[in-house]
Amino acid sequence: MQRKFFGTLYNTYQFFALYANVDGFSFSETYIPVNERPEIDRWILSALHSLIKNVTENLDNYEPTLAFRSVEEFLDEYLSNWYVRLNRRRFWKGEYEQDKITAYQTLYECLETLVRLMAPLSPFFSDAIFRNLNAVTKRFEVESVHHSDFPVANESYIDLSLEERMKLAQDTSSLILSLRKKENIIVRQPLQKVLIPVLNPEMQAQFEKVEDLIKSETNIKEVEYITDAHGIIHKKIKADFKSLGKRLGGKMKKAADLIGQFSQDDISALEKNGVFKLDIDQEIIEITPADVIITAEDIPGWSVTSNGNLTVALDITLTDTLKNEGTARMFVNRVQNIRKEYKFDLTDRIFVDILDNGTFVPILENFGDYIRAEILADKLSLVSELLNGTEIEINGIILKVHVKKTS
Amino acid sequence: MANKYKEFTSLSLPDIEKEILAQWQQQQAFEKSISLREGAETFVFYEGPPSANGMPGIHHVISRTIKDMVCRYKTMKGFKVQRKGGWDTHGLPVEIGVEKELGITKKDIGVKISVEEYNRKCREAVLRYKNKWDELTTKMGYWVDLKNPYITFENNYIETLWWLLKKLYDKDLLYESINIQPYSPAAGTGLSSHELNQPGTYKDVKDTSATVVFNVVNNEKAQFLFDKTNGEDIGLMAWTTTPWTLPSNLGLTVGPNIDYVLVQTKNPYTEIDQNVVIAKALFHKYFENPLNLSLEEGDAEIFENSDGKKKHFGWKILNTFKGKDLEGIMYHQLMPYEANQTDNPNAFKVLLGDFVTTEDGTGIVHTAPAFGADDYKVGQKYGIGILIMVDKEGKFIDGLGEFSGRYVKNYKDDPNYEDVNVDICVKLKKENKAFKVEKYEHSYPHCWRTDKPILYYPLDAWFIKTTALKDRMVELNKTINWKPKSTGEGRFGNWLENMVDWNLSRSRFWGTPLPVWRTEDKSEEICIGSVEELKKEIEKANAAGFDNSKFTTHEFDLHKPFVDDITLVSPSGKPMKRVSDLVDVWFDSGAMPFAQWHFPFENKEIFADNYPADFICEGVDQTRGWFYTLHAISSLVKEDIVEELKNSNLPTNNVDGRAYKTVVSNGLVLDKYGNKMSKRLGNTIDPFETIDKYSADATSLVFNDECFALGQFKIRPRRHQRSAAQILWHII
Repeated sequence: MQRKFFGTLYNTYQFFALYANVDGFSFSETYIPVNERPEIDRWILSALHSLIKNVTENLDNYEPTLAFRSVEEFLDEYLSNWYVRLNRRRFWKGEYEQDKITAYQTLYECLETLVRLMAPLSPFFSDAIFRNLNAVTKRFEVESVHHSDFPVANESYIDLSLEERMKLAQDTSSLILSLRKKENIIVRQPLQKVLIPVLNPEMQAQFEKVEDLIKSETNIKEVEYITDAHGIIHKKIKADFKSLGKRLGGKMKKAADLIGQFSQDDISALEKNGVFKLDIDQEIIEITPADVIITAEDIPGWSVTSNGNLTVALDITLTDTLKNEGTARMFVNRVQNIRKEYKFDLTDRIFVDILDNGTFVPILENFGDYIRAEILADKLSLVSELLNGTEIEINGIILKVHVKKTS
Repeated sequence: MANKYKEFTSLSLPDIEKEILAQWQQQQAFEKSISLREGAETFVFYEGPPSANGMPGIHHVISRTIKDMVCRYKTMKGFKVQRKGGWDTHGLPVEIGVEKELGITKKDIGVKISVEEYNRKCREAVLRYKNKWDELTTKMGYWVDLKNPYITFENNYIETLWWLLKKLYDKDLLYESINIQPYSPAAGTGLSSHELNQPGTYKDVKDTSATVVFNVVNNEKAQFLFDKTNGEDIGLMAWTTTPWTLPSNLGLTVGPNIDYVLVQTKNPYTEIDQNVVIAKALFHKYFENPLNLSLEEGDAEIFENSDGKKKHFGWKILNTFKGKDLEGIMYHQLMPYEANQTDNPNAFKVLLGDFVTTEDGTGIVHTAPAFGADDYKVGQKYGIGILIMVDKEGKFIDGLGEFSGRYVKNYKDDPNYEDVNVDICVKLKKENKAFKVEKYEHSYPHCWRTDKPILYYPLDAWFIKTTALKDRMVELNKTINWKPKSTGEGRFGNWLENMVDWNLSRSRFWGTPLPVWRTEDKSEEICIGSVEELKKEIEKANAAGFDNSKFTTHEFDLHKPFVDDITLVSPSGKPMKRVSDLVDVWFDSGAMPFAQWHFPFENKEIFADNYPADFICEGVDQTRGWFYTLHAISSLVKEDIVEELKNSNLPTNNVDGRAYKTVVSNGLVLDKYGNKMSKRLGNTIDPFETIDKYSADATSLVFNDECFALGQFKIRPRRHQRSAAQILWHII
């Protein structure tokens, strides 16, 4: 865990340093007001300032374990695996202008604040990074992180609703990706639809704001919200003996039987209201979702999973169009690898010949333009004979292609 | 100003740390972290003094990690956090180490080696590994002031202790008393109850236990018994797990309202007819009843040999009566020798005591006043005297026949040691005086430094009357922020509720001398509270014609043997010598809030700014150690501190009797077998190797991550997947 923690921090800093050095970012531009930054930046800053509050409270209470775990969660799940990953292009693409500067300012503030929060817990490495950062920006007039003041949360940065819906996006994406893994459908293969049952209009509103993010993260074309999951998603419920047994003791067996007989409506009611009343021997006992284990069953053509309040049903039907699009994307990926292998410049234009094996015609028809644009091809054609080419594999089919620079 | 962010060449934490460490040293980063906060509010931290006579281990790293974390955090929060280091330099651990090194035992001191020479060796030994400790401190990035540490053997430190002791003396909170105390023959010193409560001191051991028969004297008092046996012998049965105490027996104690029975049977070893007395409730533990007879139906003639191996002897109950009916009955001494003769008319009689139970044994308690607190108390009440047939080295004294000179336990690690307890039982069996002898497994306290079993032994000792301020200590504890809370309420709270007076005396050589001088007849005494006072008293004595030239001409040192050479003069003109006791080393460390500043002789203002502590942190094993002695001393001298500060016009609003406001007691690092790591057991992990190989940051994160979550920190090879403990196991 420790090495993963330091490794993640190290990688995040190295990523920042690499691009900031290329672009000459030294935090010399005016601080861009947070409300003028994109939502994803506002989100990570909100999470950062919530983290400051959390760490301060835990250290005030002499609970370093809890403090460290929240730092770790922020670094790994929010900063590295979400913010940096989703925003990589902002650092490596485009000119050094407003959006890029915003991204640098945001990432810098996260790193700088993070090492100050970590300074008491890992005094050496935090100081090493702090010194490296501060040597360029001189934002603090101190030699060491240990001479700086502990960060103070800026309440105006904190937007809990934004944090909540980003969490929703992360959790939903991770559920969908887990279904893809289970069904063995790689992310590059687009899928048509995901169904998400929502408990109330607020939840749906939150989803809609992060819908595009979920779609692009998981490569799904549409999201459909359903308020009545009847007939679409069938759930199973059983008592959680660990949680309930302690509380109920001798009544456990009866309670487990009653829970086992729950109808779909009962399950929905429990999920919606957060509580359900059981009548056991004339005694009313309240159970909560934490007392039970609810699982969703697959329905033909769909793959279903849930975690807590969140359920997703993924349409796993692969139409020819979807298959072709998937193939097109995989083709793009293979050609990009060849470009890298041949050490072509990012801007080099190319000619591509494909030995016709009969499968590629519909793909070129429907996605030829897309492929050409992605791989910077001036010519993309099927040929009946190919002397020297490279073999690539897409979904188990071998394809022979020839790639060369446009002269 | 650099214009490029430095990119690391690789993630090698140990290399990065070396670089940062060099910068910290070059820039004096620690000193600056304090001086930059000059004038800011103080956050007070007390460093529990380690003993530098041994190498530091990984278990020392854990507390330091937390201490450092908190102090750095508070510094960044704007507080000025001074961290004065300290060294615990007196006491048993040091002395045992020096004895081993020199190949001597306690009795050689003053014979083969002079006390002066011995104490010089101790003084050299205590800081032997100071460099190693300093290196660890530096390498792990623990920021603590090592340049001006407090050292408990320094005269100034001792002078503050004397000042505190005199304050207690003046309030009658320091007194001398004979007491049956835990005593370690192997270490040659008494032990305090908090030393007996160190983790691991109680061990399950198998001892030879015996139920022995004391023959009743046939006189008028016992007539009601002898009437039932037609004048045949009657034995009172008593059970002991320490047969070596039998030659020191002076009484038998019964419970006044317990029912006893007189049983006619045979001795299981000699098969001779025997009549014995035992508590009715414990009858079934000694007598088989294969025929399921009622107690009235017994028949002494029934002899069963049902399984061919074990003999069941018949029994018949001749009489039933209360314990109080037995009071005053006389019995013949069990093991008479030349050395244990007594003409005390109260000896060898049946006594009544409320402490007798029918939980185990026979309901009749063998009473040797020398070796048990209850025995001593009931013996005092009946005036039965005392027989001390075992000397302070733990061996029988001369005049005990074949047992003379034999050690009652194997204190010397003699490979040919034969258990004297077994031999006593064999002798008693032959004499028809043993009714049951068997191995008995029980939990028995052992000396925390020598690992040898302790004895209870009568000693003259000085006590601090902590019980007088028990209520205050309990109340104050409720205002201390304990992490975890359960340690404060449970372990510490229970300890306070059941406290006994603090046995302060140690009969050793290297320690803080108790500053009490008195006349030989004990009629006049003086407690010295400062060096100045001592000098004045010396002058007075010199003027009265006593010779103190040996002391005054010598380099001023408040240790033995020098202080023992001083003769003071009593008000009536008699010579006064110092009592021989040294002070419990835990008093040294518990007094550090005052003594680290040489309060009240110097630094009163600094003291006022740094008392009490906002935060301390040590292993949970210090709960009944340092955490207790800090708390006890501060509670006891609250008024004296307030007065002293008031006299200097210093604020007193922080002085409420607490020594610390928050205390973190971290879990212990255990080895993979679940044993505490300690240098004594040799199962420690080298912290230097760990830090060199895996970095200080990674090591400390492992501790910060897990130490609070778990009550203890066990290093085991196979734990659940994501456990940091497992990672520590890997990195080690």
